[in-house]
Amino acid sequence: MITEMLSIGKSAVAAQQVLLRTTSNNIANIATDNYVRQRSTTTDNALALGVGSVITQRLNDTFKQQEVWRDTANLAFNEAVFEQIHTVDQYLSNNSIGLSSSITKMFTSLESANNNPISESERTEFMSDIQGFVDRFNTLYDDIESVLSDNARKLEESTKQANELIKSIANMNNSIAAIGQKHDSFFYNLIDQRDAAVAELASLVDIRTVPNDENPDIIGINLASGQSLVLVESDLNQCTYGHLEIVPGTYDQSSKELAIRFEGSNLYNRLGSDYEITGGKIGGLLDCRREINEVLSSISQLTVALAINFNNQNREGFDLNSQQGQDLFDVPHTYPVAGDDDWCTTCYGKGSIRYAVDPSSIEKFSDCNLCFVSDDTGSFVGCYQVLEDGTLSENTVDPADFGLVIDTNPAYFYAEPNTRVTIKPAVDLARHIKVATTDAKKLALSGSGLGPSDNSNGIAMSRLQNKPSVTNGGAYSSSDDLVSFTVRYAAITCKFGAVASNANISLQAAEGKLEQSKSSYESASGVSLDEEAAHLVQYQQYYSAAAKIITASQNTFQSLLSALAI
Amino acid sequence: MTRIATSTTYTKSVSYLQKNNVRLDRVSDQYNTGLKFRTAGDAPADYAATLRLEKDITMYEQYNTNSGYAVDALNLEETALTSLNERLDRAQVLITSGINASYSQDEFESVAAELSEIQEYILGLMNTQTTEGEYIFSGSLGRTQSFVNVSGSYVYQGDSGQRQLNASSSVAIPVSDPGFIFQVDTARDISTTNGNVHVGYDNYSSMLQFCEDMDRSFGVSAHTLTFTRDPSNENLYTVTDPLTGSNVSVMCKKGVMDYRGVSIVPNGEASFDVTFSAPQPQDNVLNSFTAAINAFNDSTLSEFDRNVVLNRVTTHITNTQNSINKTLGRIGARQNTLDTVINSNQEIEDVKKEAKATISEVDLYETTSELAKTNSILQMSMKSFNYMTGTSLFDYIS
Repeated sequence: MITEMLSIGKSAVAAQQVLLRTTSNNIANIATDNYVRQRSTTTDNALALGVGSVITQRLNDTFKQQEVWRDTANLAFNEAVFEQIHTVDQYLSNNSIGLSSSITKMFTSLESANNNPISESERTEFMSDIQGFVDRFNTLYDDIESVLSDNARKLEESTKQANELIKSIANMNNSIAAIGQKHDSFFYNLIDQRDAAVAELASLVDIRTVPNDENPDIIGINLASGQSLVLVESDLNQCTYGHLEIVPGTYDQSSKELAIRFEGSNLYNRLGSDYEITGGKIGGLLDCRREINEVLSSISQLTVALAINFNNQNREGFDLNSQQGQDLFDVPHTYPVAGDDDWCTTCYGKGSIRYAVDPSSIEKFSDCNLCFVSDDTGSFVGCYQVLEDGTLSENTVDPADFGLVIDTNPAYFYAEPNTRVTIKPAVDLARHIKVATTDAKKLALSGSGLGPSDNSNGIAMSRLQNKPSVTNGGAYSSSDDLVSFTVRYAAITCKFGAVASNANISLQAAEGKLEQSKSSYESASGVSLDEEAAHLVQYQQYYSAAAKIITASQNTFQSLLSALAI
Repeated sequence: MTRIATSTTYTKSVSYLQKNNVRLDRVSDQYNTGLKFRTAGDAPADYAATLRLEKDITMYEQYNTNSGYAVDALNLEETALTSLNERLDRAQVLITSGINASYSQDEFESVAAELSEIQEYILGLMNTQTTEGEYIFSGSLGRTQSFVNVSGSYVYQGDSGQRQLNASSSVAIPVSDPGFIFQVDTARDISTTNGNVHVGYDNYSSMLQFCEDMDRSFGVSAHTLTFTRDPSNENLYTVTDPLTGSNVSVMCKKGVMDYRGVSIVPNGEASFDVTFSAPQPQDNVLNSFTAAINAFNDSTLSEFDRNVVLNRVTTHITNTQNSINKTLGRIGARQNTLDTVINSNQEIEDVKKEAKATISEVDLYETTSELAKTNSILQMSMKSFNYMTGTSLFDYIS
């Protein structure tokens, strides 16, 4: 009996130690990310008296966990979009960076020059204001461009980080498989670490986890689009994994696409255009490029149209030297610009297209991009408009309807077979815009055949401010599509502002959703200190009681010895 | 019963604190800047509307500046023309007093001297310059002096250009008039080939009426009439009226006869012709002044011949004054338009400013109370944090 008591006490003390250890481990990991609380339970011994075995469980709710991962991806997507979009929104809206006030300034100083056409000081102010406008545009352009290059850098970094995570998840999967199903804290800590890596990966790309049928502790990982990232092989001993890479777009090399290559293969599998990736930081970074590129095209279109309208009007008049007016802005009429060494490669895609803007149909100049498609002999067989979603128009279009003239000289007009070559007229031309002259006398205020005191051409130029002369986004179809420069800029900022506003709302929604799913997940898997405190007291008392069994057995043994005292 | 994990308590409380901090920051921004939004993303449509309104307000301010320029330019021109008119009135009085007055040659010469001064003064007014030295009556050639003396004759050197200023987005107001307003009709000439006969007009308007009637019947050109003395009466002459075709008798009284505003001194000639010239080229009054001064200074001229010249000069001065008055009328009309436009610009600008304020500026009372409210919400969530996290079972077990 004494021996039994001793062994019961011993098993009880050992079991309560495990319970206390599990509780302590929970308390110790209260601040550990992705730690899943564990619970040990005891069973009685089927063969003898005392505690049979102690089983430690990891209280993980995999469904809620997956929801947290999805929401993590969604939040990271929206954070990435918001950060980039918000920056551009600030550039566009800032009064000292945005274009609006500098356009207005040009027109007010033009009015002053009209008030006193013979005076050079007012003209000088106007000339410095058109320089100011060009500077402002260039700054804005560079600022937005820098958001795009920052975006590209972040894409590279995030992809690198994702690849490391994918690799380590595959490796940890392999370790888990090697250990086999085991119920102890050390094993669970390994799963926690693997899940921490999954959670981190979920913040980069939207993923779905697929627990293995035979061993649910091992999980395969797919992209939301279904493409495998971590593939569990049937023998469970080895996982293969993919390698993500950011590659230039198929026909627009300035665009970015996500591609995947599997271990041991050299073949890249393009995951389609930007828009098929729907989640995670990488998806967000890819997604917002389209909006930012679009706003860059729009402000470029506005700038080119404004510059050429001023040029056209200045050419109608006579300057202070009674000479026919010349261009005020230096807009390259032909792109690629002469002397541009690598002009073949500045067109996006493997091919060359040389084109010019037609100042006499500047009202048709739009923010649209055009795509030329070549046949299997490398001859261009059609020109299409690139639509907002990146697809091509159903029918071919005539570049002349976009205010462009294409140089069809074969020396400049060729492509590889079956290629699509995209041109971005607004961005290409605006990037090279400069002020043509700083000579205040060159402002042609006077009308045809009139002297320097006349300002009739200046008055006509001032009318440009409210004249509908630029398409309000998209292709030109009739003069109904035209709006004034100020209205156009307001429309651009408003449209982008709506994007920014949506990004903000989506971000808040994503934050709320993640908070909710996390709280729901934590309610099952998170540690509660109050609960652990109660357990600590409870298991301490169990331990003391178990220890008393040993004391009792010892006392009983002592009593027996005393009774047998010789 | 939902189980609450300890970390949830903290993250939730911290999240509340953060949200309320962001809210407070935003309201505090609004309070300090007075603006409802900072970027287009905060309020896309309102931001776009604000951009358009800002442009309009800036432009209306510019239109006010333009209108100021326009008012100054028109006032300068009005002042010049009014002074011109006054000087021409004085000249008219002097010349009229010289006609038919029995002045001595000395007196004529002193009239000539005063006319000469007036001529100088008028020349100055016709060459009025702005403070920047621009000639206001030179059309589009503002650097060129409007009227200069080229070998004894005053010539207009400008062109027909007219400066306009934008007084609003749609109204451009002319703010200058070219020197052509001073180039007006001169009197038609009347002459005879008979050296003994003197002709001139004493009533220009009836002579001009007669000439224009003949122009209509026979084309715009010179017209010649032949006067024949009646054999029975040496003071009676007959002429065929070209308009009616009938013969008309004209009586010579005290050696002078009047026909259709024309005075003729036949000096007993039996027959002579009188030619009414074709319309004469337009000219400025400065050259007529020269003619009048020369006539007063020329002691060899007969009273009749001097008066012929002086009559032509007064006609030209009258025509000049008519043109000036017409121009002053136009200036008055422009000033009226400008007044209206300035007033309406001011009103539109006020409306736009108010619209912009409504869209983009916060209501101070509202923001102040919002600020206080947000602040107390933040304090509440801080207290709540304290309640939620301040108690732990560990504090109660020993």
